[in-house]
Amino acid sequence: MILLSNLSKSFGTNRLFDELSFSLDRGVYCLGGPSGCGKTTLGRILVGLEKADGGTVSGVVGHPVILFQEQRLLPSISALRNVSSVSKDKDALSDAATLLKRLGFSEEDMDKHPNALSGGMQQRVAIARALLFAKEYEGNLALLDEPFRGLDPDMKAVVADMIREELADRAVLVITHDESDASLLCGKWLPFFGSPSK
Amino acid sequence: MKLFTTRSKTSTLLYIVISAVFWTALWALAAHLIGMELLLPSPLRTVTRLAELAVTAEFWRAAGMSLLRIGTGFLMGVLAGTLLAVPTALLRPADILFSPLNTVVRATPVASFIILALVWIERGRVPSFIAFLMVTPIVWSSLKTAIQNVDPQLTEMAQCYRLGVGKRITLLYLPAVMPQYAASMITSLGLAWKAGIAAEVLCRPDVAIGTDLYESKIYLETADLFAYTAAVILLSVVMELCFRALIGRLVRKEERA
Repeated sequence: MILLSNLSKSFGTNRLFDELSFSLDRGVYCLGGPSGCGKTTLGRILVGLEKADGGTVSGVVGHPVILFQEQRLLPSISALRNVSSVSKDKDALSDAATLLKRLGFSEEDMDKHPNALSGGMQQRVAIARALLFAKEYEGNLALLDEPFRGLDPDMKAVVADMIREELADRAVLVITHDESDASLLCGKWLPFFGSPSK
Repeated sequence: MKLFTTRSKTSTLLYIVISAVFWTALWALAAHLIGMELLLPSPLRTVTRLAELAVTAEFWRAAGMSLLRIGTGFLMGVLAGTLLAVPTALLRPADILFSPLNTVVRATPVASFIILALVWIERGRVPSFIAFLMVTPIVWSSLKTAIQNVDPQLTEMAQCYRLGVGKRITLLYLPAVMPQYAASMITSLGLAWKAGIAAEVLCRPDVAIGTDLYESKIYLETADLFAYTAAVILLSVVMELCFRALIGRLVRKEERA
C-alpha cells in the first residue's frame, strides 16, 4: 500500500494543498478537480519528481510508470522507435508494434515521426511507451496525467481496457477533469480541490 | 509543384550567374581604370596565373600542406570544443572554472597568439595551433548553449523511462544539438582558414600557401597574390562543401535508422 501522509505544497504564497493524506492500493484511482488545484503537482510528488514542503510518501516500490501531461516524444525518431526506446531489450520493436497496433496504428503510421502525427496519435504513442515500460520494469505505481486527452470515445475505451490489463498489478493514479473517466476505467473517483483536503 | 521547384532553382542559378558577372565586370573595370597590374591585376590575368600555378607540383604541395595543417587544427579544435562543452554545459563548477579560458581566447588578437606560438612551438606547427585556437571557443560555446537548451521535459522523460547513457546521447542530445553544432563547425572552418593562412604568412613554413602569398608580396607579384588568394578561397569553399555533405549524410543516416 502506498501512503501519502500530511503532504503540503505551496508555490510562493499560493498554497496548493496542506496536510493532505490518503492511501493507494492496487487498482485505479481517478483524481479529479479544477485546473490549477495541484493535481499534477501532487502526482509529481507521488512519483518523486518534485519535493513536498512537508509530509511523506511511503510504500512506492520499483519503477513508477509515468504518463506525462505532455506527450514528450523524441522528435527525431519514428513512433515505433519512441515506444521501443524505453525497452531494455534491443529487440523490442515487435512488442512496441503490437501495442501500437492495438492502439489503431498502421505499419505506415508507426514509421512516421511525431511531427507527422496528429495530437491524438502522439498521445497514443505516449500511452504505448508507458505501457511497454510497465511490462519491462517492476513496480507498484503508475501515474497517468490526462491519458484520454485528444482521444475519441472509441479509442478512449480501447485505452481504458489496455490500462486495466497492463497495469493491473499496480496502483494507478489517473489525473483527469472528467468524472466519466472513472467509470470508463472502473476506478475510484477522488475529488480534489486542493487545500484543505480529506 | 515540381515545375515551381525547377523554375525556382533555375532563377536562383540565373541570379548567381548575373551576380558573378556583375562583380567580375566591376573588378575588370576597376583594373582597367587603374591600369597597373602591380596594384590591381585584372580577373583574366588572375585566372591565367592561377591556371599556370595549378599545373605545377609546388602549388599542389603547398596547397596540400596548408590543407593538412589547417585541417588538423580544425579537427583538434572541434574535439577540444566538444570535450569542453559537455562538462561546462552540465556542471556549474566546471563552467566557472573553464569559462575565463574561453573569454581570454576569444578576446586575444590572433596576431598576439601567432607571435606567442612562434616563441613556444616549431613554426611549421603554428598554423595548426592557431586554427585550433580559432575553432575551439566557437564550437565550445555553441555546443554548450545547445546542450543547455535541450528540452528539460525530454530530459526528465529520459530519466523517468530509464533511458541509458547511449540512448540519451543518440536519441535525445545528438539530434537536439546537431543543427547548432554543425553550424558552429562550418562557421569556424572559415575562420580556421583565415587565421591559419595568416599564421602561415607570419611564420613562413617551408611549404605553404601562406609562404607563397608572403613571397608574392615581397616580389611585388600582385597577380600571384590574387591567384593564391583565389586558391585559398576555393580550398576553403571545397572543404566546407565536403563538410556540409558529410554532416548531411550523417543526419540522413540517423533519420533513416
